[in-house]
Amino acid sequence: MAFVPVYILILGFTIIIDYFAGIFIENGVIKKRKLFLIISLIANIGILAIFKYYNFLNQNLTELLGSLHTSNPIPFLKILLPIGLSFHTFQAMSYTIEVYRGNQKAERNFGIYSLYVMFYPQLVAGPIERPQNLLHQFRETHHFNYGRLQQGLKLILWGFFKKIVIADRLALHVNEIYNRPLEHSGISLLLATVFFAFQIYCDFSAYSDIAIGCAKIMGFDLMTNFKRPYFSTSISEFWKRWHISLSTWFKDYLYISLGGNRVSIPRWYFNLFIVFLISGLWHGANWTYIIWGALNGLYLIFAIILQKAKNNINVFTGINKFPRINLFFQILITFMLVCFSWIFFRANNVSEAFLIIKRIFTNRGPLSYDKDDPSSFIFSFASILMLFLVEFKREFFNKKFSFLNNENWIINNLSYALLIIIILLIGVFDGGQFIYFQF
Amino acid sequence: MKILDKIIGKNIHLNFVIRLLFLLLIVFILDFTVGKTLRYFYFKEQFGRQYRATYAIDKCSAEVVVFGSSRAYHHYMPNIIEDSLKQTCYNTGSPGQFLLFNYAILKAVLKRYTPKIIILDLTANSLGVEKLSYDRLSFLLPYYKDHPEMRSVIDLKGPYEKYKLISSIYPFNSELLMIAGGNSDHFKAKSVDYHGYKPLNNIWDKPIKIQGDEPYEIDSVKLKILNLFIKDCQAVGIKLYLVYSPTFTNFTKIDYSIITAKQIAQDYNIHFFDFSNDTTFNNHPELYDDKDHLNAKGSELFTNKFLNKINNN
Repeated sequence: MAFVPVYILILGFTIIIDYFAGIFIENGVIKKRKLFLIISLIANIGILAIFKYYNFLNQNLTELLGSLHTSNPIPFLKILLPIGLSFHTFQAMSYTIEVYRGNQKAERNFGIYSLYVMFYPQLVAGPIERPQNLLHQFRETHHFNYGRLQQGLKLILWGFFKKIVIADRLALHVNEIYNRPLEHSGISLLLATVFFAFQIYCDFSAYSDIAIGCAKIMGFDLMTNFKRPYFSTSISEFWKRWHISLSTWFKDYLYISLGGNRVSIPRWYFNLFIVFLISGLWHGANWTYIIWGALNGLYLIFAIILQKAKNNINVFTGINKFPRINLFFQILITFMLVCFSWIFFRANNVSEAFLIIKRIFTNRGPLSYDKDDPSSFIFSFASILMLFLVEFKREFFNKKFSFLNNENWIINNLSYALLIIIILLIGVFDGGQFIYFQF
Repeated sequence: MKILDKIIGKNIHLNFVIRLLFLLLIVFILDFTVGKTLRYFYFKEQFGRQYRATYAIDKCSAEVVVFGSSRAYHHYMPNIIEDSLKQTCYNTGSPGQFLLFNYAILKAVLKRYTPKIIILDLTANSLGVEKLSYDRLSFLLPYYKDHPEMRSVIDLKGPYEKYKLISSIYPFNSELLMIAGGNSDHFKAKSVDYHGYKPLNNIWDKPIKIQGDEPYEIDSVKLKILNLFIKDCQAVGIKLYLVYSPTFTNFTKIDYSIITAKQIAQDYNIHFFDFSNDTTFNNHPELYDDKDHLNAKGSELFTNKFLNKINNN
């Protein structure tokens, strides 16, 4: 990671464009309103394209021309991707689109608009806010509130737990396996894929929890970004629980703009597919992300196509008479499909992703773990178990007894003290923890 | 507690402060109790990686001491060295640990006594810029409190270590199961070592690795530490040997850390034995457990070959 102060000008540029675009859209006649919206969108997408996708596209062009024995005359850019660019450009775009749609008044105060784009708790990794939810909060007076402080700190602590105890622990194992897939067995690759499912969830949702917690302490409410996604019973439900601020962004501004499901069936499938393809590209300039997005689009299309068949199977097998077993299998199948798509998301490149899939199904070697010190391996399972217990309770028994949100403040404090002790005891604080594989 | 609730319930400031103090008090008590318990059992261990470090730091009195990473740990057989040199030997090699760690151990050893011979096994990229060697100094945090001589090295881990060490648990972060294992006879057979050496028994069957990296950036701190390692040994008259033991790698260009270390060895007039392209080992995968480590057969052959070189010099 590098700190390049001049990159703040990129943010400054889009803020100025979007600030004036918002005012002009609101004041303009119909034709010009569209023009200003297009200018704003081009500015935002253009910056994203240059910083995030230019070199990727150029690399692909180079390879294509290379296969035709021709050299690519277009130079590569020596640029870094500014942190959080994908997040704050999407947040900025949601502002001009909402102003254009008439759902949001243009913000006249330049400082408040800048704050909307640069609100630091969620600047780097979301949640990607909407102007209707956030802008008005900057105009309200915020008084210090102990209740909010307590709630915010609890969220931050839970976020740290997920990041330090679970995500970073699992990352040790996942990185070792995924960076050398040829040296590991099918079962090791399968387990690393399941670990990665939890790693990415805990990593990403932890950042959201910390952002929401920080904002809460300061008196601001940000949108919920994750709702226990691995308890989803279908891929469609998964996307209603996973990275909600991004999923709803794509739904509101792309999927519905393309016509959503109020079109012919082939067009509906196309809409779904293209939205997820672009969602994949948003996650990173690499074919692995594009395939990951496309795969999720295909999951949804097939889910629609096979809906009738699925109902018939349920009736035929009689599994619908056992709702709990049915629920279990639906969650399990959804989780397996999600895990399969994570292989593409995590693999270093597409060919390695296919190699990993092949090895999972064909290689019968032993399970890889540090045999001299299996601590990290055991902590990985323990941390997933802790997460599962907390999320299972929240999902199915939310109103029942709670340690972390108990009305008795002593039990409550004891629970949080224990969480801090667990972080100190088995959290991963730096690269000091390592797995020592012998091949 | 209900009475307490009644008294403080109406004053929100007091209410919050008391609840916060209560939380901090519980955290402090738990941290202190768990930390002290872990410390007690850590230093009560009788075998395993942690015990080997404690032994090297607090008890070792061998005349010949081997320093290095896992490659030292699995490559130098103390019994052969003892038989050949007629001196006692201990292998302090530790998996995943490199020069910084070795120097911290050396400082603890030199505070207690002066060995006659020290063998420092270096690895490729051991002087290159990377963060892991610094992070992995966390393994030495349990010794920070009682070994002031090691602190200057452990502090290289980061500027905030002193503050993190306010916690009694932090030095034993992630060591819980290893501490339990080191105190349980159940794991004793698996952890057995021979004066610090542990043989490996696999036979490598994969093709030789080809490596030929261009010169890379050398870490000035590590360079300084290597110089200090040599100076500290020479200051008390220890005979020091720097070694690059075999790896199943064909170096088309010699690793830049090894070139740099050879130059330093020359400057200080000490021996550097380079086995990086030794055909005795390079053409024989059956002598390796994996591409970086010799197996028992390989380590026996290597130890003898290394001793021949010492005896010839």
